[in-house]
Amino acid sequence: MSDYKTMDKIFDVIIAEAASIAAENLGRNMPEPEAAEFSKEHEATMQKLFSKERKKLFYKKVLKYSKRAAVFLLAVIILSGITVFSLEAWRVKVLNFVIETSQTHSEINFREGGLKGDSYTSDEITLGYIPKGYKLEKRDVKGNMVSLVFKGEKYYFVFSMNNISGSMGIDTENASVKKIIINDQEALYSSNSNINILVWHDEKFSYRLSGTLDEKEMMQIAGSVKK
Amino acid sequence: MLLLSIENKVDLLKAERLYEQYKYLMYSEANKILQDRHLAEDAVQQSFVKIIYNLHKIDEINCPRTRNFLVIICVNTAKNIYKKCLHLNKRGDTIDGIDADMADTGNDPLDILADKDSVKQITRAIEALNPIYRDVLLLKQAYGYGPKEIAELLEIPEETIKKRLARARKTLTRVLEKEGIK
Repeated sequence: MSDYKTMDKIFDVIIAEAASIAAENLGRNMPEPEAAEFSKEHEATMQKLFSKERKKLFYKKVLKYSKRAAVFLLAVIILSGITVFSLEAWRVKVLNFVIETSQTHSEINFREGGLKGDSYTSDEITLGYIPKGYKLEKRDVKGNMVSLVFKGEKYYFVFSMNNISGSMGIDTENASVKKIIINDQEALYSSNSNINILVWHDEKFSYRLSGTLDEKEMMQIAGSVKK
Repeated sequence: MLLLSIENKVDLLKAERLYEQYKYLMYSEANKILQDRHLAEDAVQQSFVKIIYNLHKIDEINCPRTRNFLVIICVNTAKNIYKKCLHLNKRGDTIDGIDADMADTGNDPLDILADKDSVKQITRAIEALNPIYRDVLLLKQAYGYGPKEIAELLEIPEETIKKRLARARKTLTRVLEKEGIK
């Protein structure tokens, strides 16, 4: 930096400091005004102004909070992956599930009367097939649910297994959803531009795969679960 | 919803408290320029429309800095009303002798930075500036507004604001040069 530019920068710093002091001094040295009598029209106008601005501010804040709420809701939906709700987790439900698909989500209901699943630790669950480039990143157990997270170069996929229970909802808005067969049981495959989801089950457990893997790879993984 | 109401109430109180605190001062300053009671009231009203949108710039209600800020807004609003009334929309304010090129005097920048008298002299020079230059300079340097924001606040074209800022700076440079500091 040339001396000329350095001088300019320093001069700006001095001006900024001096300006703050000057603003204080000027405000302090202003003479005290005499009280004046304002017209009724003026006072009414001021009150109207404050009232109008209060309303504007109110609507602005409502809009701001609404946007935040919408973003929060979207984040919750994305972060939660596919599970939206699960009912009566400890009750024993059955094998066959009934898939009801609406425009925004699909609901999978397990009929009562089935077998209660055994308890597994995460170490006892493995996948016989793992797509090339992916490695196990994390194992997690929450209640009856075992989750395995696999990390690839760019993307993750998540496998989870749970006792058959209650119902399961998945976000299938703007997704193509189809029923397929895995191990002679009805399964659901959902696909949209961001994420693919496969949900299937056996006699005791429901399984879920989510990630960017295609249908073929997901089917291969589904056929390779060892426990 | 309750939270929103409370927050609005706080904001409103701030604006109203500012009005109660400075209405006489603003009116008095506006009236000095306009010499008309009703026009001075108009200036106060129009000033508050602007102030309400700039409440975030005001931290403390009762302090010289806020007092000066409100007076800058009100005086400039009064000037605009005056100009409109008299159809005087002059542009291109001038000050004699400030267009001279700056010369590098060869002083050591660190000496200037360390010299507290430089700040004092510049402070005095700013206070003595013609208000049309001083106001824009203070809004930029003391209150953190950009040229575009100042233009909106004072209802003056942005180009004029930039010219005034440049002229204010040159005037201050000249002061320092006279004192042999720059």
